[in-house]
Amino acid sequence: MAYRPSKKRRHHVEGMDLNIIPLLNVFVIIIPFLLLTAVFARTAIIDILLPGESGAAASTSPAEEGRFLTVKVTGKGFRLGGIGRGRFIPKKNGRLDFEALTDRLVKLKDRYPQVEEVAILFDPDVSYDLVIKVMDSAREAYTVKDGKRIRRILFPVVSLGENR
Amino acid sequence: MPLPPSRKKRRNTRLGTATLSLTALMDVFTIILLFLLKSYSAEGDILAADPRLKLPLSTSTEAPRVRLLVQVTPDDIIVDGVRITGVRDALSGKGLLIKPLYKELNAQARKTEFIARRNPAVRFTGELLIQGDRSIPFRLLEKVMYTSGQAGYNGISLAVISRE
Repeated sequence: MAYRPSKKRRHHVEGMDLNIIPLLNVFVIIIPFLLLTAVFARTAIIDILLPGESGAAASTSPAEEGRFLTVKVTGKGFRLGGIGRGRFIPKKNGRLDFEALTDRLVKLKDRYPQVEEVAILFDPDVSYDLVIKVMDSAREAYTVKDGKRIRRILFPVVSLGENR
Repeated sequence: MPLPPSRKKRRNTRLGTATLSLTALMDVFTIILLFLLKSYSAEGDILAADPRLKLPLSTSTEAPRVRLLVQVTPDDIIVDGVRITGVRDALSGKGLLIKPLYKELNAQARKTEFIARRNPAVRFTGELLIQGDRSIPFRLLEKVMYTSGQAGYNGISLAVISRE
């Protein structure tokens, strides 16, 4: 006569299905919490060179000419100076032509790879937003090649000054 | 010959044994959880987002470090959480120096130097972080930077929101 399988054994076999409901509960709690604390706007910083003290900007004596690039931002457009032959990039359709500026700066960097400094001069009443925008285009350029965005450092040492 | 069970009956029997399939939901939750955990930064934000000011956008990805914080909102200049002066007063003053800000920054520099004398772990590096609203004029930024330089803070960084 065969024995009946023990109760313990049968229980084991029946309980094979994992009970995932508690795990689900945990997930439901954790996900809203993480969503609330998630930081999607990441802050970053831009280091700048203080003009005057470090002697980079402000002074435009002939001896210093050619050591760094200057970008003047005026109401009419960008005026490049310092290294290379100066060039004026006029506004296009009433807006500053950032693409032409980037093109020009990439070419300048090709010709003067050792130059790192740029002095950017602004009118006193331009907004901080524009200041950052011009600084960004002077610091680095993004080019699209084979569908990939390639970052290129142009003139990372930025100092700021005022148009006189 | 017994008839095959009717369709209705068959469906009924199937429903009786079916359990809710949670596997797909668990997969989704696991992926979301992993993503959120990855974007979760344990050290928190060094720069608390201040509702009074909107930082400009930039392509910079440099992570912020702990430094003396100068906030320039459209109305006030705030050092380390304490309101120093109003923007209108700062702009109307003659010259580039903002006197109340200069006094405060000088005091901060002296304080740090005092601590540095007793505690070798602390050093006065003259580093400062400016959190400026995107609408402030360049003139104001220039004044704040000049004043910081005069008070001994030469390493100036600008806080921005990273686009990346």
